Amino acid sequence: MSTIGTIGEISRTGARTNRAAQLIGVRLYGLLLILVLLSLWELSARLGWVVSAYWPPVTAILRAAVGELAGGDMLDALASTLRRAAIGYIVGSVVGVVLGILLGKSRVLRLALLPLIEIIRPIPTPAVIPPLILFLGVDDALKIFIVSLASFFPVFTNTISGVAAIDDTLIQTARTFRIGWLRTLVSVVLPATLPAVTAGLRTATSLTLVVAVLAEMIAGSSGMGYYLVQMQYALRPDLMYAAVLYLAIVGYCLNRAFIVLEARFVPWIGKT
Amino acid sequence: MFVAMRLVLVLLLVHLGVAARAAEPSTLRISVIPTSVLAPLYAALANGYFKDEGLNVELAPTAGGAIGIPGLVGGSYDIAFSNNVSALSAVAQGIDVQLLAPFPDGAADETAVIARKGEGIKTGRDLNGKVVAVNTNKNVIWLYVREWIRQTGGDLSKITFREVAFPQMLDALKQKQIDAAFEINVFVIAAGKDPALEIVSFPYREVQPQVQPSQFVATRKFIQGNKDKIDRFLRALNRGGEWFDANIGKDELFALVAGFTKLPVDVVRKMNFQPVAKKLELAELDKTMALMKREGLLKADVDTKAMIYTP
Repeated sequence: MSTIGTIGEISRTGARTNRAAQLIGVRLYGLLLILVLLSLWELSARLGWVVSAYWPPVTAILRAAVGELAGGDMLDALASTLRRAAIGYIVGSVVGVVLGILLGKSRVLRLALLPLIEIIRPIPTPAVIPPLILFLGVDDALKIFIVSLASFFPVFTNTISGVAAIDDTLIQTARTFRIGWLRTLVSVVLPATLPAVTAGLRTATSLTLVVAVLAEMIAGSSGMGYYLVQMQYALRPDLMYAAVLYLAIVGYCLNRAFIVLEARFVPWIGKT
Repeated sequence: MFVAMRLVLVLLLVHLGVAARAAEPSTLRISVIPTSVLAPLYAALANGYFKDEGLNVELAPTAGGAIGIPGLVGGSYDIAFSNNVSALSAVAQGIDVQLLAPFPDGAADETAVIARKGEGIKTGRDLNGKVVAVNTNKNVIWLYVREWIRQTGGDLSKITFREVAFPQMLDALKQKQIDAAFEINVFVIAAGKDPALEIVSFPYREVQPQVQPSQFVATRKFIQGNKDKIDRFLRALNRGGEWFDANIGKDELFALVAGFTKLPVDVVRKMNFQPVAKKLELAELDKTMALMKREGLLKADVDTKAMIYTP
């Protein structure tokens, strides 16, 4: 090993250590802020700064959250919400991608369907739940449909924009080489729209859990939304906040998982 | 391709809906709110009275009563827990529902107007210029608190009614966002223990002491097509009511109610359980209808006699 090589390595290792230290420092500030806020919450409940039956100390919430791990209704409720959210997300995303590509490529379909989609898009999700009960009932079909609807729009709008932004030279080149439409779709259109689709999927990921819980709160008989309301009526704010805590953890994990998958499968995103 | 995708989506959703709603011949799907007045139903379930009648009863607990009647119409439920005002409104709008069975009396003694202690709110007159919280405007709670205010000298045109969910009312009261709240049993008990609050009145008791605010309802169409099933359901429910009456004040009842409401047993022990009403009272339904007409919730009379199911 040459001296120059060793110095270079030391220099690179030093830079990495500095970057890691910086990252930890930044994270530490964030963690510190959370700890300070939680401590204030604990004190406000213990010392009576906030007098409310729905303001339990943080330690009571953590106790309830840990207690549920040993067996309780909350984890079943969480599993039920995640199942609905996952099915709705997959259905909404697949339909969003397919329709986005079809409408992006076909002027006729665009003229026929886009006005309808644009009319439905701005309607707030909670507003469509009561009329949908009459058609879909109050069971899984309703909640899955609501989640699908919420997932569909960001995926669809991003996909259609992605298709519109494809460099025409790519399509023309495929035509020159007499490549069939299916192969053009798989080898040219899909890879070129993937960054846009991924952006839509990421927005849909953050919406999915929110909408699933909301639908369960309005018309639920299971799941975290229903559990939250039930605990409010049962005068159990510790369990109510514990449920919120679990939802926050799951939401954070979903977001991180998405980032990891994004880096693995679409590594060129954000690097152009 | 697009048509095929749509077909797949529709089939998926229909499959999910149908799979969840498909009912065996002896199955009854009932929408409920886990509230203590439903104890006779849960007693019938826990003691196997529905099984004795060859019925498989599936309870679908919901967070609020708003989806009960729409759920009946949409076919999600066979029977729903609802209230007299919602049922009368439904019939007036052409949704043909019938009342099946009453619940335990006691609404009159468990549902109360709460205010901040020491602010001198004792009657409707004291609420002039103030804000009163109700869970839902133009429904049963709203109707009866307005009538109580009117009867005790209040001027409704000078009072603001604000929709606040029951669990949030007491906090809103203490934070002075509202001046009074019409609360249900669990929160009336909590208010009774809170030194900052006081119970002002029991509007049901003062306006209509024998009112039957909650009932089981079903559509006439379903009842006519399933009369035998409905009669078996009512027989089992009646046995549940007898068990309930026999266990008022006993640990068995407290444990049952604490189990399905998830309430702490010490809160359940403080509840004022009353025996189950023997039958649906036409006269009481007529009184509710008269109040609704006065408030503009009904434009014309409803055939209340036809609304009460007789086995």
